[in-house]
Amino acid sequence: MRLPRRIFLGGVLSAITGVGVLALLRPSIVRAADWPKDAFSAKTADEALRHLYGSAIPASSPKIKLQAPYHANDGARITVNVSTTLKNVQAISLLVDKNPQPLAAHVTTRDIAPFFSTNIKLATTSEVRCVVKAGDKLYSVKQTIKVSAGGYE
Amino acid sequence: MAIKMRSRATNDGTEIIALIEHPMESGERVDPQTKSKIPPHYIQKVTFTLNGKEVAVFDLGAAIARDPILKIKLKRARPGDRVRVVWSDNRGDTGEKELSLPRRKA
Repeated sequence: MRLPRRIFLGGVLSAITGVGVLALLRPSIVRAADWPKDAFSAKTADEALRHLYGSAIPASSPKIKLQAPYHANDGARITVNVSTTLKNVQAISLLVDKNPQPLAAHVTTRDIAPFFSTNIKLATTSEVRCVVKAGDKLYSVKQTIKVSAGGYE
Repeated sequence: MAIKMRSRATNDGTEIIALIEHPMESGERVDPQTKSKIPPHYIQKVTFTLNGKEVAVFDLGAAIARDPILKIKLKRARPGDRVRVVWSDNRGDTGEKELSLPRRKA
């Protein structure tokens, strides 16, 4: 039995629209291409920062608070809290100087308080740096974390 | 790989806590049995949205720990608002979870 044409066309249009809607619902997959690959594969913190922010040198700022232990027994999981009282924060980056690839996280803050927390791995005792882009200027703070057992796995 | 989300009121806004189960393999770890490196498998992007609008994007690398707990604070969240977290990794796998912020008790 032949399908009435309008039902057949309705079915085809629904299938096409359904696929289109699915693509719109997954913006993160579509934009996976804008993960800053060069910054993450950089072998030094300075190189990673150049890829993220260009050649500007961050100014040390007391307005960034990096909360991390001074000593960690296990380098596999270290909680780091970052907050700042700087205004017009655009992005915050977290780097571990002595890791094989120093850039750990880069947060683009669209509409959140200038704070985030995450857990990082440290291969060995290292300086941890936090760079904040605020009002189109760069600021930074750093702290050494001593590690008893390296945890970069 | 599950995601657990919860919220917490703080002085600087509503804190959103997201635990994302993920191996976060850096590609450096050697399998003790095969003696070869375990291929990298780590989350690259995590996006937080509030009622469908993007509020924060985390670009992450292999230096983030296994099963990371990410926290952010929302300035303008209200009871009943929907907070969604979506992640994608270097293999193209993804995950997402939505949390409705609890309504205040009367």
